[in-house]
Amino acid sequence: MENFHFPQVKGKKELGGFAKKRRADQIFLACIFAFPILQFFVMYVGVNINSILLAFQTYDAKQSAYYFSGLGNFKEVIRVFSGDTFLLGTVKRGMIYYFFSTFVGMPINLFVAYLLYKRIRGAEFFRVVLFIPSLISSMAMIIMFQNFLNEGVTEIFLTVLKYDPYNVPRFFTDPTIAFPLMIFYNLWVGVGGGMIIYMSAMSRVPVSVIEYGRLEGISLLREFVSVIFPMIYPTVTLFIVTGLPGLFMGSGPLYLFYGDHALPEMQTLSYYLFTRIVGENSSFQQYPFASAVGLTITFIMAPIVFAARKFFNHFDPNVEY
Amino acid sequence: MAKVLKKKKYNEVRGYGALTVVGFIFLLVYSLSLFVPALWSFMTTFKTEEDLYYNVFGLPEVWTFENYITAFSKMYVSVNPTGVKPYKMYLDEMILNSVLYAVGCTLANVFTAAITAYGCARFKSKVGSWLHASVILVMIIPIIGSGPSEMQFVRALGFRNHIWGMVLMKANYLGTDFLIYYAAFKGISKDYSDAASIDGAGNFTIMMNVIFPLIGATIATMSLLAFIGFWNDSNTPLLYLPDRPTLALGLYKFNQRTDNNLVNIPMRLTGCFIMFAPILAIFIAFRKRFMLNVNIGGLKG
Amino acid sequence: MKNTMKRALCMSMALLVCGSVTACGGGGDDGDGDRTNPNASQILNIAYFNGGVSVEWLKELELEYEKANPDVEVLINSELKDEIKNQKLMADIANRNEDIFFTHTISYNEFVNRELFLNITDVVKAPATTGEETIENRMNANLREYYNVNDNYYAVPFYTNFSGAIYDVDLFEEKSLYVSADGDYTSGLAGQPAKSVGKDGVAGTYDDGFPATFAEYKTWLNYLSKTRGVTPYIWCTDDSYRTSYLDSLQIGYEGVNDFAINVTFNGTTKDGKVITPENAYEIRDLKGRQFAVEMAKEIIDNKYYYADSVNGSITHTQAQNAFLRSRPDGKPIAMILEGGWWENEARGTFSSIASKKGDKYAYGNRRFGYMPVPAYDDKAEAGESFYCTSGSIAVAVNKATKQADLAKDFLKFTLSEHAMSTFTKHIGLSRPYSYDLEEGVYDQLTPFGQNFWDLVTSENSKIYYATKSHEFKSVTTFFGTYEWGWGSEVNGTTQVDPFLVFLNNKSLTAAQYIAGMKQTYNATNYTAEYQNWLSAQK
Repeated sequence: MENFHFPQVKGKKELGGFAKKRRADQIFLACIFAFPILQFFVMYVGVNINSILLAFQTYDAKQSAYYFSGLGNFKEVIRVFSGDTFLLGTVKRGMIYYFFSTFVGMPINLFVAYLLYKRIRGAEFFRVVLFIPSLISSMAMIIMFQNFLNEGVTEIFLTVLKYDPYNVPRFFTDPTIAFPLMIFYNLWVGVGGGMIIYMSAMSRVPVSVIEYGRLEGISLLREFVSVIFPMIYPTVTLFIVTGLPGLFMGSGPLYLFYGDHALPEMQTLSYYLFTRIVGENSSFQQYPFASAVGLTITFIMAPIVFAARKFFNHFDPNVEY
Repeated sequence: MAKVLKKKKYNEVRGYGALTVVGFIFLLVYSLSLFVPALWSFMTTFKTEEDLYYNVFGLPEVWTFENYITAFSKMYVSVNPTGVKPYKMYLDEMILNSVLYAVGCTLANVFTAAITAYGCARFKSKVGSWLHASVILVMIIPIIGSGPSEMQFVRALGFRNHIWGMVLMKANYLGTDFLIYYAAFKGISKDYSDAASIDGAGNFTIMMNVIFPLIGATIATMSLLAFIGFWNDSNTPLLYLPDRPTLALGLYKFNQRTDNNLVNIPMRLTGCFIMFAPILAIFIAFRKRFMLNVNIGGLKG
Repeated sequence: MKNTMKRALCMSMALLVCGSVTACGGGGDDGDGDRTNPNASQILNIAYFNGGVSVEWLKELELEYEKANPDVEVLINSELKDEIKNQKLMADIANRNEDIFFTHTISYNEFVNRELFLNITDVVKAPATTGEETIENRMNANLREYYNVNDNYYAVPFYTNFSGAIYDVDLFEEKSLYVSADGDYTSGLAGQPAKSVGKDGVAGTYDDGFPATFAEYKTWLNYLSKTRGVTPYIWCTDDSYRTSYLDSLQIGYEGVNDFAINVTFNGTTKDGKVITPENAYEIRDLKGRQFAVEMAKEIIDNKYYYADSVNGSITHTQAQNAFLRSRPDGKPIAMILEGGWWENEARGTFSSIASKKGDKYAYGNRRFGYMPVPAYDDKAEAGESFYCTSGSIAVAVNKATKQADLAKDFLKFTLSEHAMSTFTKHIGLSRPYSYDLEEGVYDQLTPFGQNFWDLVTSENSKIYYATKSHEFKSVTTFFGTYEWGWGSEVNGTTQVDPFLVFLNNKSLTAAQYIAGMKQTYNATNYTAEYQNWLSAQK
């Protein structure tokens, strides 16, 4: 029941109850939004506006300063990406990372979450184990992974499998092995990803529906497809849409593995741009190009993302239980 | 003696379908793939570098705590804050900095995101919709090369070398956390706030005393996750907290040394475990909190 | 259950606290930063890049200086790495409290343009102490030109270093790996066949006993590997060590003058080719690069390397350890690709080997030296030519310092002959200024340190320190960091490390790699880029 006052008519301007509430609400919103918006404009817009402007500038080494040079960088971007096989290769590799993480990684996450949701044998134990990688810093994880492969697994090849030392698989220096290994690493580390979120989305399905399905004798697979998936559809599609920028910028943690010296056959666009601005291969001259590439990607991706959002919303089964 | 029948949960699996068998085996193999490197790494932290060189997989010739002792006594950062004489900061102070940094940033980040999401979710306003849209927009735009610019801002605002400065930097509402809080708030019926306002509660009281407690579990879980993220973060302290290093930064710098005694593999692994120990302890103590259900909304709205 | 968890939490916290208490108790091992001088009214802060060159020499000088100036305390921060690398330093130096910086490689011109370094011309143009020549005159001529900006100095060079192949002298004697005068192999010891005269054809010079030509060198490598069971090379995963080796081969053939043109874009090669900025791409046609690439191919194809060098990612420390352990363990390795600082860095391993296998393996008791570069053909440069990789590693004073005079005074103190002798005494490298070693210093250097000093001061050595690169070369979008050096278009990708390329592409020939080197930097691309740059200059 709401407080409802008829507004006074004669001359006196007194706010009616509803209007009063609205005013109070607006003041309240103003108070709580003030700081976040200020922080956003200073630490996000303010910081990044410079980088966006960089895309329109060129570096003068003599003066050690930037000057505006119009769309020259964008022309360079177009020129480079229509001919340079190396950079096109980096884009291709980024896309491969993306496809694996979306079409292999995400199904694995869903599968695992579903299994845990169904409380298979040992679910409690697996839940803990799967969560632990997210507790460990990525640097520590990589140190462990790298050293285990370099020392431990190599040792197995030498002593147990009796390989010739010169024929042992070169995990990090042979791109035909290193590249799949990086993809594997990404998937391996991310098996428990989103587990908490998916599981809680699944648990929103009412008991009655599950019981009904069980009485009908449907298989697990059927249950997942018809009952569970529609429920978690918004969650899954949100992850897909917000993950779309990874289409061009997808990468493994190359910098943590290789530092500045990743093999050219392993480099992704994201890594390449990062090393233009940080590290040994960086220089102030290359900032504008990197920035221009970033902006170009945004121009390409923004419509794709919004289109995808529309697409998924259109097909949303809109399940309400 | 009556047999007590175990009550099955509604979503528990009956029988052993092919899917569950495959799933079980997959999870088992995966768990092994995590354990074996972890155990090997842990065992290696008790070996000297020479021991590892000659004996990769076996048990340590001599189980030694040397690595841990060296790490504790040599893991220092030389700091040079203004107005104070330069000195060496050891683990105890670094842990303090880590705690201040992680707790401060967590509180700032969680509450900014939660309060902003509250405003967007429970009130209809243009600003609210823009804020919500900005969250998604920011996730899409890859900004490259903002490093120098950010450094300039941090310097100009006086945040450099101050933990409160980092807290202010992290007090943003962007990220998936916002979406999680948004969905959580949207999922609470209007009745709660209506009832409270009938009783005469103002908006602020409703928010803090009525609605927030309802999603207390979500906030607690998200806070713990954020805490871990900040605890493990060495990038921000490297750039902006050179004279107030956190444990993560100390470890990172430790790995960068060229001293032969400190850069070997057992030492690096030791550093990793030292960093992980507090997190593991927190995890064990608060395990239930981590495993709580957390909801994340969809694309609409 | 809850109790167990709480206990676990408490225990791990206790462990950490105990650990840190130990740290506090046992810390301050070198006293730096913990020493307090309550009488000191002035404090000088020094930032020292934590690379291969350790800080002991500066600490000894610090003590001397403080004794002479009791109201000054000098504090050295020697664990800085990423924070004071080139770009970070540029962004951050104005904020930092340190007064003097011992840097890593920097873009000197950028620092000067942005006015981040204090003008120290008055220090450089005066003697460091009475009785010496001015620092400017003692400075190596090339570097003098490099650091001089309109007759002003804003930094001074730090140290000299060569990177290349460093060989195990004891092993060569033990396994008779020297080339003998009659074309066979010898240990060169008394009673054994004499060593050959080497590349220069003169007996009694540095290159005696080493393969004189590339063909001989290849035979020799085969001899090492197949007959003697010695692995010729070891290196670490970081490709800069391998490319430094290639640089050493290149300069060994081309000589200092031609090598410099790769950077200055101006000069005449010893063949008589005139290079100007318009046709500078032609400098890459010189045989020096061809030689280096063919050497890389030879090493990879015949597996003349230590297997682990390519098998995992081994750090330079691991490579040093493996190299040092190889001879005592009976699986000897002949050469390591390293820089001059390596012996100092590996001290810990020397002692751990000595404790197990005997004192003859201790630091200072083992002999190492720089491997001479064979002649690719009869046009190879005579004598030994070296590439100093540390020309742009500098010592500078922070423009934002609050005690300019004190900083300059201390800087001057570190540039005296005595100070430089102290540097060599501790580090085994040299500083690019003319100075004599003090009494007894040479004798207490390790054999490798003595080898280095002999090479630096020898008349037959020619050293390329650094030269001001042509302004066009600063267009990193075209020249890259490593691409102009060893970059090559292979299968549509720009590769910068021939070793790995040959390892991953067995069928690629050296000629193909060299042809690929000319793809990006060919006449068309270069001229277009140069014209672009020229028009932007107006």
